Amino acid sequence: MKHPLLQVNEVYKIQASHLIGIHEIQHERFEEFCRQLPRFHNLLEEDASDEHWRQYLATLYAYRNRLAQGLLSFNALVKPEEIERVERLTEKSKHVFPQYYEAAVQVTQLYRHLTELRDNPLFERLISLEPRTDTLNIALGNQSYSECIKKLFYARCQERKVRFITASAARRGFNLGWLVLLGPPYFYPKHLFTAPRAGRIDVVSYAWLDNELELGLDFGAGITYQEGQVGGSEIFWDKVVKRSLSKHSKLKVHTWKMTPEEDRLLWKTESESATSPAWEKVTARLYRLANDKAVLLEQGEKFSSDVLWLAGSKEVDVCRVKHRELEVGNYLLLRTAKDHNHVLEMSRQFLGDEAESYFASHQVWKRRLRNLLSKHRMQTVIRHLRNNGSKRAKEINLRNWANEDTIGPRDLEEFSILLRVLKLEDRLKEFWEAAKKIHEARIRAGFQIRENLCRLAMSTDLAQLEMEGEYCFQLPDEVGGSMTAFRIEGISEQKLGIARQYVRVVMDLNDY
Amino acid sequence: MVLSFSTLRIGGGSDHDSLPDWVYFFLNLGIEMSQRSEDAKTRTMIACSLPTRSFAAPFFALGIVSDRIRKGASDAELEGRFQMLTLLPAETKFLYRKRDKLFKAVKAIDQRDTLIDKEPHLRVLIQNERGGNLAELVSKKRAMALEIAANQEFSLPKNTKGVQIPPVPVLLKAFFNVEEVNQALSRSRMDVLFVGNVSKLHEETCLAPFSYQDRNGVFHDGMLNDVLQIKNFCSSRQVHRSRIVTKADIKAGIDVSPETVVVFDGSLSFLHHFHECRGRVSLILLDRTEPQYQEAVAEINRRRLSKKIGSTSGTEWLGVVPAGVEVMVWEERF
Repeated sequence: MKHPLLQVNEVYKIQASHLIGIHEIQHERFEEFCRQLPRFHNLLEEDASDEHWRQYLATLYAYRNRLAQGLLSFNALVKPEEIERVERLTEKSKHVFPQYYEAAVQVTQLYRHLTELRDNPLFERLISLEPRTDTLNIALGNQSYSECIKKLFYARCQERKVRFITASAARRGFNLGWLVLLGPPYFYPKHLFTAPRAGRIDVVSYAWLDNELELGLDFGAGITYQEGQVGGSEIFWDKVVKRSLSKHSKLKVHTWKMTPEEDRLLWKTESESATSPAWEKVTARLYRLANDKAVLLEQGEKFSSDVLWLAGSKEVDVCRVKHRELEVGNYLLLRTAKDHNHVLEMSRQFLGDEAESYFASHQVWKRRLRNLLSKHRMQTVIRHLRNNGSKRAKEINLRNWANEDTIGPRDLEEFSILLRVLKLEDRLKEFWEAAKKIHEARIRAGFQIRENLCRLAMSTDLAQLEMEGEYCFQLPDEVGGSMTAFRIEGISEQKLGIARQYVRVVMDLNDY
Repeated sequence: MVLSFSTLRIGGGSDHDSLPDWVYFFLNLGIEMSQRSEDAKTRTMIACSLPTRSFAAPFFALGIVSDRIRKGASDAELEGRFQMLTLLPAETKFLYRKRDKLFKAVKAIDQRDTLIDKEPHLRVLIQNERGGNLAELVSKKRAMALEIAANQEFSLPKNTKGVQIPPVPVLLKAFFNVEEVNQALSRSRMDVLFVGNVSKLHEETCLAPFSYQDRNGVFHDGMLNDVLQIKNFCSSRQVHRSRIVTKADIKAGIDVSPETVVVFDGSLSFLHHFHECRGRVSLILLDRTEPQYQEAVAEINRRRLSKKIGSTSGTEWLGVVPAGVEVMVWEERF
């Protein structure tokens, strides 16, 4: 038996030189189906919870998931009664939910068409890969269909030694030689890429899935750099991924280096936030901006910011981008004039004379909620809400609802439960009306400001922005104030819990 | 003298391989940390993110223990120890180590004529009056060989032969000269405190064979525990230089001396027990395949941000970090 130290040495050898290839596969019909299905789900909104649509969606999602990571042909494992059920439910919706009928027919037709195909693009690509070692290790994200896949594999490629393993088996191994992962990288634990046990890893996945793979450093609340910009620091890392095999792949390698100023900024912000109440805190990440500026932006599925999009020399657009999708090189639009909230000002204009009353009633229940949160622990309030039937009561939502800048629960039933707990149930209609009006006005205001900014940007020579990484746009008089576009030059990997007052505030690193 | 591990080989019997580079990284890190732990004002913290944490802790500890053995006890330490022994009342009971034997000893009442070459000595008796009151003169250099006996009730034998101490482990003999070995075997001390999985450390330090090639090209087999002398894997008669924290230790409260380096072997060990051993020079070894890895990284980042003092830019002493290893160093004030 090999000495255990020599086995461990195999792992270290792999760290020094290994290759990850991402193979993206196109399939027009399946892609269309994969995109249509969630769109249809969104269209249903609250009706999606109806038993009729639940059955319908469950069948289609199961089918989609099976194909996304399996090695099965599109017509494999599809039972005729499943197809019948989907078609029956579609027909039934004509009478029960006529508003969704047309859209449902489209999705069902796509599904029906796919189930007739014998295509198996993942498998075809897999067997076309050039053999790297004697044994091909295949990790399956979902083990449910492994038997089926094994049969198919053995029937088609008898000459190749294949071993099916789980992700946890890859953890225990020392040198697997060649490992193939089916489905996008996020299906698998990150350690398969950061502590690889195979000199060659091939990821075979559909092109429309998120196949991005970001490998960075873990220590320190640092800054993300793009490849090639790694600076000398106390952290050392041998970059392991140098190239990808697919021209479509979005493989990225980056690392960070934290400057003392950023270190002090984060330390100061975090320590000053320590005394803030839990509902006032948000999870944020540091974004380094051009000209030694920095901003902290909230992290989470819902949070997004305006980005100035320079598509070409003439094409300019302002669009909303989720914070987790922001990248180095994007131009982030931020308010730089203090005490001037453009969206709020403009939404007040849209609401006209009734603005004050709407905002006043909106503040009543928010104030009551904040009082409740300051008297009791967050978990106690969540439990109380849940006992009253709330489905969305969780820490992040409560923090948002208590915040002045956000609206509140979008669902009427959820809102009524919240008001019941706040003992304001009798004013449900008034508060709901106010929340709805403010929400609509804000969306309109946001849209209007984006339009204004877009027009401004179109008529401006943005060479200065591209050269200096910063440009201030003076908004029209009816809006007032200014917005500044900053180029993002680094993104911290570390998330921090900080008080809400520090987010979206442009800070000068020279002050720290 | 600079420590050299080039004669250490992987494997026993007739099968030998040389040590890979990443092993030297941990050995050198241990030697460096051994010196840094002696700074009274600040403590150095090192966190390593590793593809696998196997063998990292034992080799790091090997660096520390070897460096400490090589240095031996300082003159000041020996002087202090000798002064303490002279101030003890007469008839204090000791356990006295001489070569490979352990003797019962009693501090003699008569301490006259103990100057040899102008050097003061301490007279201890190892035989009773009927046996002729056989005495030993212990010099300052050998002060560490006397250990105050936990049981102060025993009486001296008539004819003493001493109790055989287990033979000097092979690797200990291989790396250190006779004086250093005697010093190392004279008294237990705690150079390294492991917080981690006992069975894993047992496999790595007591079951995995290593060997040493002497000047004549002959190989002598041994285990890493020959040098590490982990208390949990030693008999009660053997001295120890390191220890693994057990549940009972945690229950009783861990008392760590300032010169002890604490090694957290794994994310879970760090997350569960860091607060019990805080305030000491520490090495935190995290394995990226562990389920708690991200949680441990977040905790380290938070700690570094809030506790760090001064600049950590001067890390040249780390040398070349092996591929796939990420290291972060920071300093905290005691």
